Amino acid sequence: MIEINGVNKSFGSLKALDNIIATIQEGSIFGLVGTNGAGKSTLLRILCGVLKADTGTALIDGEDVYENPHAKEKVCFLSDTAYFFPNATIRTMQNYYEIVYPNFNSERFEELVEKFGLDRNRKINSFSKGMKKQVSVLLGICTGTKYLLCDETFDGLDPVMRQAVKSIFAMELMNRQFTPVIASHSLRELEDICDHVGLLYKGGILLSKDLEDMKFHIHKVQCVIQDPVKEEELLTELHVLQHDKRGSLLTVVARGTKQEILMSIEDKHPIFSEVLPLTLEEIFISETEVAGYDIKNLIL
Amino acid sequence: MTSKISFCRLLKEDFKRRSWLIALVSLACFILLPIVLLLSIDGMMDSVRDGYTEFSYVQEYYMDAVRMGNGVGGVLAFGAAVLAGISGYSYLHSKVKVDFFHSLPISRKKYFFVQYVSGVIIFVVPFIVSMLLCLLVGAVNGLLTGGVVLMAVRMTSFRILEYLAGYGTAILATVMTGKTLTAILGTAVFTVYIPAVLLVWAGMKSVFFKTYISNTAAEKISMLFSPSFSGYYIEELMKAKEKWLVIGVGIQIFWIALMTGIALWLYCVRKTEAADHSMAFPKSEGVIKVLLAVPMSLVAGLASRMIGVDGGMHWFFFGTVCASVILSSVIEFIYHLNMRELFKNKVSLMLSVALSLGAALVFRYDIMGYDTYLPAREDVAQMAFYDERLNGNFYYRPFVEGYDLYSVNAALDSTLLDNFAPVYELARKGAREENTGECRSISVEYKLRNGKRERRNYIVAEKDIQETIKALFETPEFAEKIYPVFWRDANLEGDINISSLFGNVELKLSEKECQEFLDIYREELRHISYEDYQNHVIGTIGFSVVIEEERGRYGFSTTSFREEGYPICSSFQQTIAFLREKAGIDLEHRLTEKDVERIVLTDYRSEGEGETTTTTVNDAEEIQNVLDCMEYLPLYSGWMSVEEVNIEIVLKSGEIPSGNLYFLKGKLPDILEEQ
Repeated sequence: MIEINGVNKSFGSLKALDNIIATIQEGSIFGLVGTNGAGKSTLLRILCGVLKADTGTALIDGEDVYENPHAKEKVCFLSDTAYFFPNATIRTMQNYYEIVYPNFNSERFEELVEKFGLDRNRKINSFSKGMKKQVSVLLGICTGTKYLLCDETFDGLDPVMRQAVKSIFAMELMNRQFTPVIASHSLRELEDICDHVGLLYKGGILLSKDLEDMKFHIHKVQCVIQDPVKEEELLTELHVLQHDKRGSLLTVVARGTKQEILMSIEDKHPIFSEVLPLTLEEIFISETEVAGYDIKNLIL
Repeated sequence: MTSKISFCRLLKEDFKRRSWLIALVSLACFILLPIVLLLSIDGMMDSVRDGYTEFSYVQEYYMDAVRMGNGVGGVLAFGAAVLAGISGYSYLHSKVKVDFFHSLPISRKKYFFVQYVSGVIIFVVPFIVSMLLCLLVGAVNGLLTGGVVLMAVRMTSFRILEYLAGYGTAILATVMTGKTLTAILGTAVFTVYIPAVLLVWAGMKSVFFKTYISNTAAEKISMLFSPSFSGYYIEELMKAKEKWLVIGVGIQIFWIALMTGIALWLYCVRKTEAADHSMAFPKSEGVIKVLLAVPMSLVAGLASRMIGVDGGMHWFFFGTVCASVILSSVIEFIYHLNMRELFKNKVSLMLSVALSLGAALVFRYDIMGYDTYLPAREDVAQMAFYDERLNGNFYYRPFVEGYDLYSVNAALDSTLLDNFAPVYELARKGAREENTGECRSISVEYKLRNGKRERRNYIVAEKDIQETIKALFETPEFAEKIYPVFWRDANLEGDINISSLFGNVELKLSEKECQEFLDIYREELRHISYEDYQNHVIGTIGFSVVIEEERGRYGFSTTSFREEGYPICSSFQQTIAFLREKAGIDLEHRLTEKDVERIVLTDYRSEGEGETTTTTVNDAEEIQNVLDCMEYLPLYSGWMSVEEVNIEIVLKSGEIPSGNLYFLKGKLPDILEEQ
C-alpha cells in the first residue's frame, strides 16, 4: 500500500502539492488525473523517492521511500521523458536494469520485446518517440517491482500499442502483486483500465475514489419539467454539480445514486427524463468546475 | 535485498558509459609520457653514440621526466581530474537523468562512491601503466637505477594525490551547480580563488602602501591555497627539502578530504529539482556573488587608475564602483540567464558595492595604519635591517623555499638582531616622521615576541642610515649576521676571487688552504668597524658558491651564485699576510708614478653646462700628485661626497686596474684645480 500523508511540496514560491492525503491500495490500477500543473508528476516523483517532500510522508508498504533503497526496490518510475544511455541499445538498458533491479525478468522482457517487434540491437536514439515509450514501459513492467509509477505513459503510443500495454498490465495484475499508478491527461484511456482514480487540482487532491463508485454516485440526467417552480425545487434538492437548460430540456449532473436522483425527478412529474452515461471526462470536468476550473472560460 | 546491487557491476556499467573518457585519458597518458620520452631518449642516445652528447645529460633528462616537477604530468592530471569530475556528476544537471538515476533503488551515497571510484580508476590505471612504460624505456636504455625507480614511485603517488585534489574540486563545483558551464566556471573559481585574492591583496598593498615590501615567497606560497594547484608548487619545494614531502602529502590529503567531503555532503542534501538551474543552492548565490565581485572590482579599479589620463584616485574609485555593479550583474546573468534579472538581488548587489568601496577606501587612505605601523618597543624580540648598499650583494640562506635568493625578504629573515635599538630608532623615523633632504630606501623586519613578523620599507635620510650602520657595526653580532660567509656551509673550494686596485685575481687554493683562509678571514671580519668599512677597504673578496642537494631522492637541485663585496680592510693583517704569502697578492702595495704609464681624468663637473673635459696625465710628478689625492673605495655607495671625475689608470704593464677610484670633495689634484 502506498500512503501519502499530508505531503506538501513547493518549488520556490510555487506550491506544487498542498497537503495531499491519499492511499493507493495494492492490487488496483490507480489513475492519477489532474489539470496541467496540478502536481501529478511531482507527486509521482515523491512516491518514487526522486523528490523529497517538504513536509509529510510518502510510505511504500509502511516505509518512507526517500533515500530508502529497500522501499525503492518496490517501485519503478517511468518518467514522461524516458532516459536511455547515449548510444544504448535495448540490450544495453536490459543489462543495466538487471543490475539495479534484482528481480528483473529477462526472459519475459525478451519475449515482450520480440512481440512488440523491437530490435534489441538497434540504438534506441534511432527509435521513434512511440517506440522509446514502448521500450520504457516494457523495461518498467519487467523490473518485477510491486509498484509501477507511470507518468504520461500512454501518450505517444498508438492505439494498438496502448491496448497491448493495457493487456500486459492486466496479465501482470493477475500473475503477481502489481499496482500500477498511471498519471495521464487521457481520461478515456484511464477509464478503460483504472479501478481507482485520484483527481489533483492546483496541488490539492479533489477526490480519490473507486471509479465504479464515482460513476455510481454521479449521474447525468436529462429531463423536461413543465413547472418552473418544481424545476427550481429539483435543482435545490439535488446535489447539483452542473446544470444546463436548452429550451425546455434540462440537463443536470448531480451527485447521488441513480435511484435517488430519479426519485427526485419523478417527484416533479417530468414529461421526460433519462439517465445518460457519464464518461470519466465529464465527471472530471464537473468536479473541477465546482473547484473553479471552468473549461468553458478557456475556450476563446 | 539491497546488497544484491553489486558495486562492481555498477562500476563496470559506468566504465561502459564513460569509455570515451577512458580512451582519452589513456591516449593522453600514453602519448605524453612514454611515447614522448621514448622519442626523446632515442634521439639523445643516438647523439651519445655519435659522441655529441654526454650520457650523464641523458640521465639527467630521464630523471627530470620521471621525478617531481614534471609539468606535463601535472597538466595531464589536472585536465583528467576536471573531465572525470564533471562527467561523473553532470547527470545532476539534467532533469531527465536525475529522474532516472534517483528513482533507482540505490542510495545517493552509494551512487556517489560508484562514480567517485570510477573516476579514480579511469586516471590511476592508465597513469600507472604509462609510468611503468616510462621505466621500461629507461631500462632498455640503461638509464634505470634504484634511485630513479624510487623517484618515479614517489612522483606517481604524489601525482595521484594531485589528481584526487583536482577531482574533488571538480566534483564539488559540479554538485554546487546545475549546468555544465557553471560547473566549469566553478571549478576554475575554486582552483584559483584564494591565490587570486591573496595576489589582489598584495597588489593593493604594493600600490597604496609606501612601506610595503613585495614578498614573492608569500605569493608563491599562496598557491598552497589552491586545491588543484598546491601539489605542483609543493613539487618544487620537494626538490629542495625532504620535509616538504611529508608536509606536501599532508596538504594534499587535507584538500582531498575537504573538497571531497563537502562535495559528498552537498550531494546528499542537494535538491533534485536544482537540475538545470545555474546554482543548485540558491542561498549560496548571494555569498558567491559578493566573494567574486569584490576582489575583481578592486582589480578593475586599479586598471582604471592606470588607464586614466592623470592616474588620479577618482578613476580608481569610479572604476571600482562601476566594476562592482557590472560584475554583480554579470554574475546574476550567469545565474539566471535572464536580462530582466540582472538586478534581482539588490541586497547582494549593494553589499558588493559597499564592500568594494570600503576596501578601496581602506587601502587608499591606509585606514588600518599600515604605513605608520610601529610596534611598541617592548613587544619586539628582534629586528633586521637591510640596506642594498650594505648587503645587497649577498645571498641569504642556502636555499629558501619560495624566496629568490637575492631578495630583501631572505636577507631580513636571515639577519635578525638581538641588539636592535639603532634599527628601531631608524624605523621610528621612517614610520612616524617626515624625512627630508637626501633620503633613500631601507628595509626592516620586526619579529615580535608573539612570533609575528612584519616587514617594512622606509624612506629615511642618508645621515640617519649611516648613523644606524655605524651603531650596528659596534655590536659583535652584526657582522656575523650580515655576512653570510660566517654561516654558510658551502663548497668554496678553489673558487675565491680577490679584487683590488690592481684587478681581479682568482685564488688557487687546496681545500685545506681554503678552509684556513676562511677561518682567518672570518676572525678578522668579525671585528670590522664602521670606520674600517667606510674608509679603509683595500680589496674585496668574491666567492662562487655551489649548493647541491642530495641526488637520487627527489631529484637534485643545483644552485650556483657569486657573492661579491666582502671587504678586506687595512686592519685585516692576517688576511693580507695570507694572500701575500699564498697567492702573491700584495694589497698594501700603493701605486706610485713608477707603476703608472698615464692617468686619464674625465671631468664631469661642468656636464650640466654641456662641458666634459678629458685630461691625460703623463708627467711623473703630476701622476704622483693624482695618486696622492685619489682614494680607492671598492664598496663606495654614496655615503660621502666625491668629485664628479672619472679616473682611469694605465699601468706600465699595460693593465688597467679596476675602477672604484675617487677624489673626495675638495681634494682634487693640482692639474684639475688649475682648470
